[in-house]
Amino acid sequence: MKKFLWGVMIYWCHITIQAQPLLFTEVVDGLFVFEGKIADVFDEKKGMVANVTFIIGSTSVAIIDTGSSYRQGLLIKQAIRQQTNLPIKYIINSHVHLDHIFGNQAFVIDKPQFISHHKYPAQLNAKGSYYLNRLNAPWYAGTQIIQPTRLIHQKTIINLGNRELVLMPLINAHTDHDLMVFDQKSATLIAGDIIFVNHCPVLDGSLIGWINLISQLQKIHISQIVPGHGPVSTKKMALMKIKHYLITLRAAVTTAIKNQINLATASKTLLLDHAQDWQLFDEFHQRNIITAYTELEWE
Amino acid sequence: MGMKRLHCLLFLSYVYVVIAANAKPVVPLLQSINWPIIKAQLFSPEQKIKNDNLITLITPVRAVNAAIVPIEIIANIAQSKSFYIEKIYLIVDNNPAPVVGVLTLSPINGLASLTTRIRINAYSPVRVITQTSDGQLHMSANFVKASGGCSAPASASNKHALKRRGKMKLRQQPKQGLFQLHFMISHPNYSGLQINQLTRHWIPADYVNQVKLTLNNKQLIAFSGGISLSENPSLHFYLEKMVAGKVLAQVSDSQGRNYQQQWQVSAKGQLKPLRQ
Repeated sequence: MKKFLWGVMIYWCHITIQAQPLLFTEVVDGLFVFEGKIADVFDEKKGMVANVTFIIGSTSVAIIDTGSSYRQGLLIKQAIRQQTNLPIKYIINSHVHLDHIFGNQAFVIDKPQFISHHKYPAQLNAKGSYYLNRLNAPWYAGTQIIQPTRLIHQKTIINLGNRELVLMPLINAHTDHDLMVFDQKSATLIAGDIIFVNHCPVLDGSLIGWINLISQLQKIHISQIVPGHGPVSTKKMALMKIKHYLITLRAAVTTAIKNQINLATASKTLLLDHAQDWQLFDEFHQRNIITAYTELEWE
Repeated sequence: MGMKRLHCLLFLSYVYVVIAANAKPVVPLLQSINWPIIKAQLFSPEQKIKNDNLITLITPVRAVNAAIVPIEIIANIAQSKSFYIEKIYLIVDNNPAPVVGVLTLSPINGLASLTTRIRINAYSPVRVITQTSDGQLHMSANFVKASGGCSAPASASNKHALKRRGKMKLRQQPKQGLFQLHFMISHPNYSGLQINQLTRHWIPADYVNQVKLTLNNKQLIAFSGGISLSENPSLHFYLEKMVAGKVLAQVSDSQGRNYQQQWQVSAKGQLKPLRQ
């Protein structure tokens, strides 16, 4: 009886850990995207809310963002190995938020370069252990912080074999250390959280910087954008809606500051009519107003 | 272990979980272990604190950003010469330093309503105790769900706060037949519980601890406090009248730095900063 119970327990643990493989879609030739669920990372048992991209060249593979847990990292690797046996040489993290980085650990044994913006380590040091404390559901057990091994200061090209990726470090937009990746072969921009589709944008850097950046992106030839959250979209669709939100946010907050509407009132009353445009609006919009307000009041 | 004992144990633990989940909290939300200690330090045992509606405290139920929690204190009486609110204590029971600060007001304010922004480090009652000119104490309290506000890393614009440290802004606007003033000072207001992002050492506490504003040498408002004000402290308050002359703001921080700024007030009440 005792042995039987142990057997049931071990089997049960096994099926809980061995989750379904992740569903990656081949968006263009050799570029695969896992679309995260539009949800708050802390409301999800497995926290798989951010998009993950991998790109296959003729000699190696690059991954952009690795999800929120060691186990998700393992699942990503499993999905890659269904497509190719080429070495995984580059793990690129778009920024330090916890839903984008904690699968890195699963790739340490592949000895890739862990690539990030040059300001990423400071943010990782400041926020990493705080994040791990919050990711305390059983699914995250054993997840660790992995330090980057290569920092990007300026536009840099890496080659996957007949496939060049341009790494574009930004100054201050969604965060102060965003790193975007442009696949030249397919003119696809893997934008990280510079672009949100359907998911309410989240401001953790500079509103002014973010708006300027999106205006610049409008001038560049891009055939499609992989956002940090939400489905892959055409450039026009992806940029239009987020730009509208950010610009109206800037205008409303600037007016509120001018009219001495205090922060509490502003955070509860501004732009509520945008709620229908975005999912998770209640979770993030108020926070965006507070961040924008504290930035703009000193402009 | 026999099966019967195992079942018994499982059943008991189930019963325990059900009871625990349905039990009413023993401590009401607005009480805390810290409150009696804080109270004993600030007030004498003879002083009674009334729970009345002299003031209304408005806080979010759950803070979206624990490092910047907006607080509104609404006075339900006017500041008259015979009876007015002279002190406001703002307290977060479960913060490492629970007294956010003490504000001093007078009839000159017309209305003792205020807003500011604070850090909240753990789920806590937030309370405002006002002392009226007759020496009586009145309290209003809310429970706020927020955590990590004192240790949260500084915002992305923190480097500007450092560069601008000591820079002040003062604006005024007619409101409710009075003048609402908005005073801001740029300061990182390090709580002492934050970590330097590069060195991973604690950043020493460095926060605004004294603010005093005067108009033609008459005190408008004064604040003295601890680590719990948010980065770039901000304060909205009222004045009954704007009179021509000069506003002087004097601020000092816990590292002993002093800052001053003056504004010229025109006959129409317009404010213009004066060069130092």
